[in-house]
Amino acid sequence: MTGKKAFVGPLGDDFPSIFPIVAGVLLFLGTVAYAAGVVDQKNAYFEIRQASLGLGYTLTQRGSLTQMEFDALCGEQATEFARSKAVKFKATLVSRCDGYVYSDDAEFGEWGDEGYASCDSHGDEEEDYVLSEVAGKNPVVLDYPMAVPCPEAGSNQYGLGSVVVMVWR
Amino acid sequence: MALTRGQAAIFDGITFLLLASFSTGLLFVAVSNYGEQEDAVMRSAHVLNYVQSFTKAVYYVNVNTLSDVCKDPTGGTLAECKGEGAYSDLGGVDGCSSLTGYLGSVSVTDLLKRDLADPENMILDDAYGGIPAKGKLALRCAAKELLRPFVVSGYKYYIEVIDPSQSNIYSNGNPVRTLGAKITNSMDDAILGTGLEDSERERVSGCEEAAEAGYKVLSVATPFRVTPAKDAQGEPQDEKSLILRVCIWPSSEKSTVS
Repeated sequence: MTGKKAFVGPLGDDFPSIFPIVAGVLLFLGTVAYAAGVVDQKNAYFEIRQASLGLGYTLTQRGSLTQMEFDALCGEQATEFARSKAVKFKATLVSRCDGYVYSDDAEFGEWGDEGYASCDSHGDEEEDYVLSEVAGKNPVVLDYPMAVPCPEAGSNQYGLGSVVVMVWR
Repeated sequence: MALTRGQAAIFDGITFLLLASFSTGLLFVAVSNYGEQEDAVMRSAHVLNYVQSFTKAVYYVNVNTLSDVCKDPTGGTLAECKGEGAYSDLGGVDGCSSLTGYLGSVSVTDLLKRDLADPENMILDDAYGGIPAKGKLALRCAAKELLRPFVVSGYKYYIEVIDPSQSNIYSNGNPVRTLGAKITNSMDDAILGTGLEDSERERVSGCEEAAEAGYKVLSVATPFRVTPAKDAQGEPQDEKSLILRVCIWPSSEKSTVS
């Protein structure tokens, strides 16, 4: 009699253990799904960073760049490279003849027309990218030193400058 | 009997939950560490490409364009070019502003080679024989400006010219003697050789000392050929195959630039 007191049938007897088992399975599967998402996100960012480094190498082959040289390098090599890596970019040749000036949003400071020359993955066929849209896509921004004509784009002597590359997907 | 079986079943369930929790903990740790090495490699690749670009740029940057490096936009001298930092002497009359007199065709490395071409005595001393040839100063001014993004981020740099044919002090080659200020933003005594006798201090390799001190030093070395001037007898001397080495490392040392 005492042996049958807690007996609630062959299934009912194991019923309480189902809760921790289900909780464990859900916890594990949830974590796996979360981990896969994080790994994908990190891989995607690494791909963009890798592409940005490649574009940086492409645009800094030389120690000095004029407008024409920059345009040629951008049009012939950088655009193709970006296409092969499925990323978008905007690169600017900036004159810093009066020295480097940094502000909190320095990386976006070169977006406008301050540079000697700029090019992007659109080429000349389409309209320019919009800064506010690109800023929301977590772009990678790299800045490399470069000798550029100073004090003006047509000058014969070279001074301080830089190449700013912005890459996103 | 049945009561015992029910307890065993719930014990199995709880054990399974514990195992699942442990596994998820491991997964979280693995995910948080994922990509750290790749991140470090890419960071190093960027730093190296930046320093390579700097090294290439100084072959073209004309010396006289560096004369305003320490000039404040309001007309005064920048705070970092006076006081006690690594750039403290760059704001004076013998600082970057003194580079204004050079011809527009003279690049930083041209002047550095001239500085090193002293007959029978290769020294970085801002002079060629007795004539001013401010190659070291020009490189200091260029580095101050072009390496600024990394300096602001807490990196230290050291630039030196190495003679690989001489290796009695350092196995990778002895640095060429440097008189006065070194081409660096570091104020570390070991890297500057502070406290040593002049003859030893002039021969200190900041790159080697930084690596010795345990810093994660990245360096870029480029061939740097210098043709020394004729000796006292008027005989031409052989071309010297030197190395221009730029080292950079993250440091907890206080930054001189804000």
